[in-house]
Amino acid sequence: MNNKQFYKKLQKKIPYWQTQGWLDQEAAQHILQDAHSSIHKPHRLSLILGVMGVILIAAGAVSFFAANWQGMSKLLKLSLLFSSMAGAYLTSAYFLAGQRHPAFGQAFLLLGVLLFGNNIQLIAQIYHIDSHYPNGILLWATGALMTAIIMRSEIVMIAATLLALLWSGMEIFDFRQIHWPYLIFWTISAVFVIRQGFYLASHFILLSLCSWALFCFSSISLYASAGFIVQIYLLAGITFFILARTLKAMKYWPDFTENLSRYALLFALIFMYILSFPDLSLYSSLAHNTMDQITWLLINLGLMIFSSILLMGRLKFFQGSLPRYKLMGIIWLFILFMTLILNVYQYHDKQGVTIILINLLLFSLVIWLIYAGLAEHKPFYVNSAFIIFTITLISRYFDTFWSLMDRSLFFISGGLLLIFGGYWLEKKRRQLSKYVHQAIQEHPHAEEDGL
Amino acid sequence: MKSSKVESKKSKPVLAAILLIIIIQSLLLIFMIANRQAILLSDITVILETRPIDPRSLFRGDYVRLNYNINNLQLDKLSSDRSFKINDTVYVILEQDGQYWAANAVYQKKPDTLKKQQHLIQGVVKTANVTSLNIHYGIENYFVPEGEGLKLERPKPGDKVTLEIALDKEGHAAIKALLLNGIRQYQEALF
Repeated sequence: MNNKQFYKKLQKKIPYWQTQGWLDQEAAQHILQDAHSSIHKPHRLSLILGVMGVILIAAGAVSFFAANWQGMSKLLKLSLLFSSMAGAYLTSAYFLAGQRHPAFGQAFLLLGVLLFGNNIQLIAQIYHIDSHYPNGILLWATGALMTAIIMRSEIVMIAATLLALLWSGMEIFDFRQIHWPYLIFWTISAVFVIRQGFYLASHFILLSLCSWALFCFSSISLYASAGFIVQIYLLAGITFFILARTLKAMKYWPDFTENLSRYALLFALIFMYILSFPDLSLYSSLAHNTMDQITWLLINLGLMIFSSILLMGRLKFFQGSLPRYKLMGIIWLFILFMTLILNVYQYHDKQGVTIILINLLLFSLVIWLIYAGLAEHKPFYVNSAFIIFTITLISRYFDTFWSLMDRSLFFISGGLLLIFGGYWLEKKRRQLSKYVHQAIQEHPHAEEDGL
Repeated sequence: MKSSKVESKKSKPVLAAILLIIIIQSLLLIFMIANRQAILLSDITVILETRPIDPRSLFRGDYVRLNYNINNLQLDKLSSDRSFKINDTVYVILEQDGQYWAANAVYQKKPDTLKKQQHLIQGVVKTANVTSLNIHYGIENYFVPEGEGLKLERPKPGDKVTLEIALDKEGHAAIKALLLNGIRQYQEALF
């Protein structure tokens, strides 16, 4: 049953439910409004098939021009390029107007954007334009963003997000720079996604920011050793996590900030895990020389102060006494900050106190996340904690026993550990997740905001 | 009747929005063409020596990758600034040396004046060291009809491929014609 049929059925049924006394007037109106709002949302399968279709058409258009362009005059080529793009857009207008078939409308809108990009490439070919090539992708991404904003299209917004990442990736990898202009594009896209409440696009927006940060790693490594960058990324993840939880507590964009907090937590966990390795040679002396310790200390301190201010702001929202686990979380954060400051000076000591502290902090974070997940009814915290715990356990097994044990014994015992350990961990994870889900069902409004 | 009127009212904003997108995106594409055409209409032209390499692009058909003599500059043989970085925009002064044009100086800032027999070309530094620079001018690719790339990539012994380049006053360059042994093989026109 499509959304329109569902709405019509509701229109027929609701008066009966009202006469039976099952629904009051206000509830009936809300239900009808909600159902009406989803009528014009495109059907997912049609959209997926439509998108796959337009990608094939766009690929066909590219290969057609590549194979046949010598047989055409420039005027004919340009006429074909412009008319095919306009044709795709006008077809989308036909399907979108009056909601004839929104899914096909969106698919043709995407085709228009793909043909716009195709036209940029082919005009560059026809007129031998060989300038700074990422600019072509920037032009394409800008056209896509403009189309997404004018037509309020989520699928085109996702395309624009991917194109912007491609543009920035080219600038970073081919021209070896930290590409800050990307953040302007990202901010405009993020504001639009938040305002429109796009769910899927919000994941793409957040994933693209994480990817961009990872892309920049290679450029930043020209100025600093990898260990310091990992440390900064860990702090950045924590800062974004606290920022997201604070904004959520202030009731700003709840869906987006929830997703932001999840990605930020995963980002921080990954970089804390990397930092826990004693022998990764993260601190090459050559790279370290290009930026001094004082600069890195100041960057570390800046992020720590900023996240602390956010945390203090967040604590203002608590009424009554602070739960004990939250207090423990603040103490954990303080110890982490001190450890990271110490690490700026102690990094070269592989058996030193900081590496032990970072490992202890990682394991205590796992325990804290499980506790917080149970207390706040957040299965995501519990699952993340189990994943990072399992990965760390396997890594430490390799670190510790690889050189100590006979190879065959190493693999057999490792295999047994994986099978039984994995079984036990999965059992515990399911138990805890079940408990959290039950708690959510029993107290749907009991979710508390974390740190 | 009434419903078709309502539908037509709803259609208008969608159509208007789509027309706006078509107009803006078409203008952006026309700007790309006009920008290139403005350089090609310039009176300033130079002939550059080149060694074509590497034809064929999977998606864009045959093309000739052009390696000009002015792509690689030896700083000790030129008047130049002291230090250059990758991605710096630079201005190369060209002077006629016999039949062809060659680099005479390279600077990071656009020179205020040029001598009568000098022209300016703008480029971006790709690699830099103390003694040499590799510069790209945005004229390194030339697309040719299918199957003809190889002829230009591997000319017969004694054949010479040269390019006629149009320059505007800011030093932006565009390929005006491709010559084989001084005979025009391809000439650029607006349409």
